[in-house]
Amino acid sequence: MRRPTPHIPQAPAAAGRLLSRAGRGGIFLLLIVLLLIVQLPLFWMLITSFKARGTAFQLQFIPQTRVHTPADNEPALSMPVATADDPILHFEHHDPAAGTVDLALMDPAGELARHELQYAAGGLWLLTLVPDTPGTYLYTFELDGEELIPADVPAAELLALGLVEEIVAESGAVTSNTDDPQLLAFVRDGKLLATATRPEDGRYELLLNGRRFPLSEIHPGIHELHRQIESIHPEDEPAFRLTEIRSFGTAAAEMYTLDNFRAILTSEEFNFARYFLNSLVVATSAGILTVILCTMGGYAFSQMTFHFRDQLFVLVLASMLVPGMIFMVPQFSITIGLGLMNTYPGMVVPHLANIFGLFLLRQYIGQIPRDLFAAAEIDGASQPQIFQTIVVPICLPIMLTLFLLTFVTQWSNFLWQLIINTGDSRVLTLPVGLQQFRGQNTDEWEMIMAGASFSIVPMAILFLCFQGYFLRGLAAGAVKE
Amino acid sequence: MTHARPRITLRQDLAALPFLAPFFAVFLLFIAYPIFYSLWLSVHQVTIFSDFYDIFGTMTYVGLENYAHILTSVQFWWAVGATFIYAVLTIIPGIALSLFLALMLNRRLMGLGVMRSGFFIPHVFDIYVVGIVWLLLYYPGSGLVSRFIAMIGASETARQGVLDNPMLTLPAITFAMVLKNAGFGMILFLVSLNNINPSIIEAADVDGASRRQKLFHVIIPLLRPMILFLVVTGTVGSINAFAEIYAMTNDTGGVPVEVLGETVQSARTGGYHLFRTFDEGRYGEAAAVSFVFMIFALVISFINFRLLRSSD
Repeated sequence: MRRPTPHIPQAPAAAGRLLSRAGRGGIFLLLIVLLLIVQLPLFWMLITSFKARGTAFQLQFIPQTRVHTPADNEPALSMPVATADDPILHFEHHDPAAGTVDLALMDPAGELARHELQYAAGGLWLLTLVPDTPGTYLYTFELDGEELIPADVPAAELLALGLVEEIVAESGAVTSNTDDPQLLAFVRDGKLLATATRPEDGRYELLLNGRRFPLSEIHPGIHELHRQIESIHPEDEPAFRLTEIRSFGTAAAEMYTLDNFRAILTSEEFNFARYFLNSLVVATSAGILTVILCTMGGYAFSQMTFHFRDQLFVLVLASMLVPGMIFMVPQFSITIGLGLMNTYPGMVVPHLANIFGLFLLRQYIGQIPRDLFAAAEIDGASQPQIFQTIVVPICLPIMLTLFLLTFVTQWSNFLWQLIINTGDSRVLTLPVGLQQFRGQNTDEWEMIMAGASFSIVPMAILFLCFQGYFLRGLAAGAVKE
Repeated sequence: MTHARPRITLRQDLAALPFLAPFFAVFLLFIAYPIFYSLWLSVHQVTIFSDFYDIFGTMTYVGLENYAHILTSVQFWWAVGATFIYAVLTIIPGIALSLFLALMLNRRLMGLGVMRSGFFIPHVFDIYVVGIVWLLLYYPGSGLVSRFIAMIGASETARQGVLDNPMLTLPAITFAMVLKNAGFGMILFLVSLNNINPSIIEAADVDGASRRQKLFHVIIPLLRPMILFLVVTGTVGSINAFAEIYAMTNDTGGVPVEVLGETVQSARTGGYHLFRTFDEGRYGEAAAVSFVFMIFALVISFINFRLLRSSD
């Protein structure tokens, strides 16, 4: 007889399910965080290698279409406000016929010696004069020794002459509100004036107390702002920044570049294209030769009978217990004795007797059904024929595994390649080349990371393409223990 | 007659020879002979009378002087200590992290394959190059990790840089190596976990074991051979550790520290110490150092194998 299902027990079950789902979600998040930490060096290397020179330590990755001067983490500039006691004087003189004037020739005299010259190009001169004491001044413009304006003409008449477009104030001023001589801004009589000289393409805005005022380009490279605003008092301590508005493309091109790669690939002294090729030759030849030696040896140990076979195999295996660094000094001596310093064979040959590889192949060949060999022997096949027609085709997957493991190991063999090459070697590999490069360019982090990418990225791609083969080798190595 | 082992003939030996010769040519010249040659080197010294163009040929016999020198040198024992610290700091966190990852990824999960590859991939990268990337991350003051350290309050440590702090040089290096190699241990543990007979877990379930009990009383004991394997390879790896120390200490071995009146470097482990001795041309002493370390490695492997056997 069926009883109606009670409803109450379902609630805790649902809650439990919810809890376990939340727990699973938490673990998932934790794994993602861990994965990001593990991948951090790879990511950091790649992003730094594309960064513009000298920006490796800037924590900015998204191209900024709005760039502030001064930067956001620096204090904004104080905006000078003209008052009766503290007026501001500013000239703009536009004379297209004058052409470009050498800044060094601008020579204000007398009490006007303190001055700020904003721009002198294309016939437009922007000049801010900073008299030491308030008062009334007369100004003379001389061009190549020729007086443009008679010295006794009152400043106001300059306007009438059309040589000066505007005289903002007639007496004493301080305008040096920025270290950037090509940026000037001040407020006078409720009017905001700003001039920015920026040869780069782009639009500009003045950011004053949170409000934006766009500048307009009055002349190629000269951006100006004249605008009536409600009066600002010096006590308000108004502060401003200049905002450059760029297209995303321009901003990205300024932040990221291929120059680092171009530099290390075309460098005479440290050529990473050559290092890459050397590494490729060393790792590939080591891989192929190791596979050949181990397959042949593995076949002999697995399928052939000869004196002291098992004893010999144990002896070979036992030498695996010796830590690799024992071999450094004697192998070095033997290799230089053979005259193999600074050569490919010097880097490759000493590592060819791969005992793990021999073991791997012997195991694998041992699993080939014996009938296959027996049939071949009945057909009268010789040992080399059996090896060629049976062993090699069947062993191809494990041979590829051994090739890949050897390739990766020799690609990254730093110690041996460091000691067997001198600095002027023509066969330097990537890690040693990077080490040499770093010796000369300690702080060129962007280029160093570009060089590092040459070593890391091919390995990442190789692994992702042949993952199964790598992991099979590991599993085999683990099972044997 | 049928029970007698077939006699091995000379013809069979000759047939095997071509297959064995290539491997054994390299093996004898570059593995077997060097072990004895190394022993010979370890009782010789390069002297001022050694011919510069034939240093190895003209070394003088000094008996056990190299060994006596090593065993009484503060630098050597410091290297042993540093290697021990390196081993502890890589093996224990390394196994813990790999085991955690393997247990977490041994189930159905979104993006499982991506995660397994993602954790494993740094293992195939060049150690020296990865070390250089970490040098950038650890850069005093402005490196990413230094900024993070400053953010969590240790601004003095961040300004100095962890690699230039004698107490933190080895932990910083091993942290990078644990992250790099965790995926390797993870794959090995995943293989072992797959090899566990499901009926054992089912039996534990029938007995009403909690998840925690199953983990600590069933799964981990079954993983013991793999843990021991990682301890042995980790120990040998610590003795061989070189490229990461070379990279992250700018070939200095770390910050100078005063120990028992001698100056030693904070991260000068066995492998790096051997390289330095070698690089300074003290070939005899270097051979002796490597022999002493080989004995350490063999003793540790032996102890581990004994442990392995007793666990079976």
